[in-house]
Amino acid sequence: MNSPKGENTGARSTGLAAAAARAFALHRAGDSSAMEALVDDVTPLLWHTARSQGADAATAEDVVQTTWLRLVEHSDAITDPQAVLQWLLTTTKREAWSAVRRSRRTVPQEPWDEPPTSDPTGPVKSADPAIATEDAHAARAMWRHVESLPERCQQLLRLVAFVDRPDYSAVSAALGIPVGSIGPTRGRCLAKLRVALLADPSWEVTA
Amino acid sequence: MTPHENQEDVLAEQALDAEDLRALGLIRSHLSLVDPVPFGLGERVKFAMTVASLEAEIAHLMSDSLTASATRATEYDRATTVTFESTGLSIMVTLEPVDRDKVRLRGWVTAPGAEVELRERSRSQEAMADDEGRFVFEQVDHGTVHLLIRRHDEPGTRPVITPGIEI
Repeated sequence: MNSPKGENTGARSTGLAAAAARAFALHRAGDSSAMEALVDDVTPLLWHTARSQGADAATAEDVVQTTWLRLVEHSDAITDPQAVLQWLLTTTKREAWSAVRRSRRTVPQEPWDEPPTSDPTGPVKSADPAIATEDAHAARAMWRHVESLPERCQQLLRLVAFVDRPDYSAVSAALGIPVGSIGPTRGRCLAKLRVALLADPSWEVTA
Repeated sequence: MTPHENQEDVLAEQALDAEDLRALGLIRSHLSLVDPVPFGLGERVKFAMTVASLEAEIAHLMSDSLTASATRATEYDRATTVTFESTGLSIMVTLEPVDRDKVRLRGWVTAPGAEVELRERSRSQEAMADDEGRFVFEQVDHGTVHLLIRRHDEPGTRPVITPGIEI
């Protein structure tokens, strides 16, 4: 995702949910190109949504395509353009979860109840040494802490990392985690992460 | 309540700060590195959406003098020709370099007078096939394009779309 993190400025401060609402309204008004930029902007988030539900790469790709096609098919059924981003996230999550459940032939109660070690989505590739910079090192160290969190928090942080503040609530809601989990306050998952970081002597962080 | 839980409660109620944003940035960096979005997924999604929304028929690639359709040639020293076919239509496309950045796309379709739309990444151009089915787009940017053909000589036919043509 190209969207920079941090302080939002200008049009970006409106977030993906607002961009999705605008694009969808234009699409319904007959602008055939309106959805293209939206596909570029939102697809990374949907990809990580599918992956965080346990879908392997091929399944995740199918799920993302299916979700966008459903949006075209059901465009008349979506009454509130403001809800489009959340609809996309929820549909991706549900599709991915069903696909994973079908492929496992078992029925976990909830995806996050499974032991984290069974998570086949987990990034497995090791980093390319050529780009193993200091930042990549820090990113790997951060990821180890994320992996120590409850599954639900891992899912939330994976997705929140790909959006800016205005979209935190859409992501939380789509995951079924109450609004206000993250933003304006730090929320439970980022607090757990901070506790882990504070307890890590190799990590420089201030409380 | 243990001190540990208490610390977490306190932290949870505090406002997001720069460290949180840094943490999220690092999570994003890590995932982008080890689990990147597959190359071209966005383009494949858009193509599928276009086909679905237009109820278009996808023309099939018949021959391709581009060494491989996926090859993005950086330089054309000769014209290249691609042929597509659908149920009722054949489309031939020839690409010639105009200058460093632009390519001329000449085409021929077995439907004289058909409306031809060239869909580029962020825009589209339109042309009409002449009485012999010829059409031309003089200025095409490098990238993936699709041709969308709507014929008017046979009412009720579905529009035909080509798979991506790498220019």
